Amino acid sequence: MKCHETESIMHAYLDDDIDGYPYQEFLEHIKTCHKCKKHFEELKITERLLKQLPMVSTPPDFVQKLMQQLPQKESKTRIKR
Amino acid sequence: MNFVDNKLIRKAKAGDMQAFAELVYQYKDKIFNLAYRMLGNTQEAEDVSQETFLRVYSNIDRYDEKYKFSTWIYKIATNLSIDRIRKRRTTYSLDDYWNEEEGLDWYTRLPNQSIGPEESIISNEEINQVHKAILNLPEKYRVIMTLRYVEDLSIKEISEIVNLPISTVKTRLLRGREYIRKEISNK
Repeated sequence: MKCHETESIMHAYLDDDIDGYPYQEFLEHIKTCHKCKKHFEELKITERLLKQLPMVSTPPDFVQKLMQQLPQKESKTRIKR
Repeated sequence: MNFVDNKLIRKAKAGDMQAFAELVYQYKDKIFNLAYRMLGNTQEAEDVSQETFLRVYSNIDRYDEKYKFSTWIYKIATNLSIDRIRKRRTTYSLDDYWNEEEGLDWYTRLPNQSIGPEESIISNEEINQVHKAILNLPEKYRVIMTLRYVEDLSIKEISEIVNLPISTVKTRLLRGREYIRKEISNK
């Protein structure tokens, strides 16, 4: 396997869709190719970081503000929560 | 799409404000976080999120239950976020709006439940690097990366939201991840 053939396999792995890709051949390749191995490790770290981006809090008065903007006649309904 | 959404939507279509409010409670955090990662600041994220729900409210009669409600609302929110990015381009530069960022103290905005033991292995500096790298992506990549990693959606649902073939979504994910990898690895 050539180095330029590995990138699409790495991303197919991240998309959990390696069917149809020579994944075993790729694993053999990175045993000896430091550059591709490093690339793959960096990608896995990148994806891990992306998945761990924390949720930010929605402003506490968000729903109240929104309900006040709705057309007047309907917004008289009191919202319970 | 789930049964609860359908029931609420039918009630909301009939003018039940409580049902509409329940929909807002279900989706507000998802929409706010999507807009925040697309736009990079909380004020614009709030504006766009409010506008998203106003559009949902005024167009709910036109919502077709054949499609998932989440797909519909994400479509509205991503389009509004992209519009906002395009509008401000003439007046804002990237540096300008990064300077308006809350900086490191925004960690205090996190809901407590999101800081579990597993999350603690990611440092504040890494969070900021990834956050800024996403904001540096052209919006056609940014929207795909945000839907995938902030909203945790399947590639199929993303393709329905952005109206693009699955193969295009995959290509954009590849380029988005490669860009962020390089940004992180070069530091």
